[in-house]
Amino acid sequence: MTGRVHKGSGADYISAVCLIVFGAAFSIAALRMRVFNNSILVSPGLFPLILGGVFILLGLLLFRSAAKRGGREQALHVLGKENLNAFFSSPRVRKGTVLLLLVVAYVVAVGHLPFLWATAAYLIVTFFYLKAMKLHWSILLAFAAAWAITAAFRDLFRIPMP
Amino acid sequence: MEILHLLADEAAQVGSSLISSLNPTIIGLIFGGSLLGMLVGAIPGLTATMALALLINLSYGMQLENAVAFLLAVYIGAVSGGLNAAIMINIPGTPSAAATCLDGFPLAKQGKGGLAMGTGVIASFVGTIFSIAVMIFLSPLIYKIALKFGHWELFLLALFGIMICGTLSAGKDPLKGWIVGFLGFGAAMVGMEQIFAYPRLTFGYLQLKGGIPLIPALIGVFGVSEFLAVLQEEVAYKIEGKVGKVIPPMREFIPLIPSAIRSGIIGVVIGAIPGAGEDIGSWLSYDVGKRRSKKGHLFGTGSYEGLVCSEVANNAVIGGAMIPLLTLAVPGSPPSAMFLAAVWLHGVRPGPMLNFENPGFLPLVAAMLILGSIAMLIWGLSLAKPMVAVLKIKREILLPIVIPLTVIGAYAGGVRIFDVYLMLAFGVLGYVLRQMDYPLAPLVLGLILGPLADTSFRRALQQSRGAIMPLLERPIGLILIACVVWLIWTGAKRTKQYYAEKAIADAAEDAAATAADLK
Repeated sequence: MTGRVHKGSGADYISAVCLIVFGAAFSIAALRMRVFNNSILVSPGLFPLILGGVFILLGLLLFRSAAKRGGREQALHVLGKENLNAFFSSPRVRKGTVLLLLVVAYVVAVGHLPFLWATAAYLIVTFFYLKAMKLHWSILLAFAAAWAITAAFRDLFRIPMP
Repeated sequence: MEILHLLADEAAQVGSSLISSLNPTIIGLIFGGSLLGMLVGAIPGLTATMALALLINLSYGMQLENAVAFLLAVYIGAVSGGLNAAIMINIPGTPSAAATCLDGFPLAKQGKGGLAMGTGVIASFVGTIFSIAVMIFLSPLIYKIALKFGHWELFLLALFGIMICGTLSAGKDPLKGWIVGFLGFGAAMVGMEQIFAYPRLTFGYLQLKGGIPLIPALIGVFGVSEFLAVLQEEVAYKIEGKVGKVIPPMREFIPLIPSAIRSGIIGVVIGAIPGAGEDIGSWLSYDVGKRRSKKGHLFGTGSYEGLVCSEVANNAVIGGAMIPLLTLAVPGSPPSAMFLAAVWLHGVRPGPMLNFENPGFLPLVAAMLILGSIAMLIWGLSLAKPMVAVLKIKREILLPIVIPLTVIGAYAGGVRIFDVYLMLAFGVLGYVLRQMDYPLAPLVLGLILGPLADTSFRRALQQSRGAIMPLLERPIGLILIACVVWLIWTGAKRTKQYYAEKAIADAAEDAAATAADLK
């Protein structure tokens, strides 16, 4: 092991393990489903049970190929403290994570605040984070966009709004 | 003779559908949808599927005819809109326009950007019309075959659909495509199953009893994940050269007719394969064109023929994708999956019974596609210069506005905030899968075909009383089994080869790095 990260094998190794566990859980859930008319052939759990088996099989295939490419060592290396620090401090990952968190916050806010206010707040913060334009323009455009979207969908197209 | 009668009848129905559609509402929706589609398609990184995901909510309150007109116009507009960015900034507006960059951008550098855009728009129009003609004449024949499908054949069709979609969309690693396809099947198991109405995998959530709603899942997978993936990348670009004249002289097109016909055929065939999509059609057509053309050596240096090969094919995929969608309820491409979800919402169930349940639907789709492509041609030729101006607007301003639209799209279908949370969950799933090089099209196809596969499989077993032999004696089923086995065999070989190559490349990289360290 050189300590070098190769794209793919570590991620494949981890996803293969997840898939095998998921397949096993899927199969167990399928086995717990009710059997009607004493016939397994039409039982609701039959197809999910087969799918669980398919997940395990595909997971094993992925696991085998990832292991051959040094996936275990790669996965341990990738999940190591030093590498995780480097991963989360990369600008690309940080940007993706912040944007995702902003979307999550917006979706939560939409469930609790009026749509127009939640949307305007989300757009202001996102424009600001992305340095899309100066703050006063961000505020103006965010409110204009939120109002236009609300008016167009609710009043013009009569679409139910959150 | 019977077939000729059928085709003549179909053509007459399309004609009457076309005439009855010529009212101000539909014309307005078609031109509006086409323009919106072209605008979304022109923004680098956003796909035709994204365009439909954003605009599907507008169709909820519309009548069926209006919704079909609007959505198909968006679809055609978005696929064609990708060419503007491909030609002027060398970044495809949609992935389907990636091959267009190869000849479009060199033409723009020579100051012929306008002519390249004009040629691309006309080629897109030709491709769409060609594929509509094939769709009109082929669909009735496929209906005839599809009516012979029993439960066993329908199960195998669903299985074949995700296997081929997984194989084609995952590039060199079909295993990942299959995994995602079966995950889609797994997600489709949530909710009440169709034979006993028994709730499965709902974890006590009442909202999951109806299953995972398709539109929020699609918007999440293609809308939210695309937003995150596109904005994460820093892409700097500058607009090359002046636009200049847009409409090319007609005499330039005559030598390109054979290439256009060949590309149209390739596009339709690729479109008809479940999940293959516009980008594969475009690349394949470009590659075949380069090898078959007498001027193949000019491809990549600013060849109009190369441009035509790419643009005819990606638009021909549209009509091709509609063939399996309308006749078998198997979408040929991700945008057509969005269209399928939208028409389900309006109570139309495409598939073998469509001609009996909604006899006018196929002609309606054909008529709207024709009108949509005319609108695209008019907008494309008249708005080439303003479209270039759109490219000057920063993505950081346009893209955040996408998210409120996705929220409305997810919410408005079922009027439940739960659907918005579901959209977010699928968005995160899609984003993670993208980062790990998993294709997303098989996930969606699995979600659509899962209930069909489950119910048909169990009903087929019930009919045969659990015996497999009677099922293996059915000819259509045997053909489908052979296709699935062939896909597994070739896919496994390709996957093995890909991983072997990857292992060698990793080892070489390590060796080079060690040598550099020693120095």
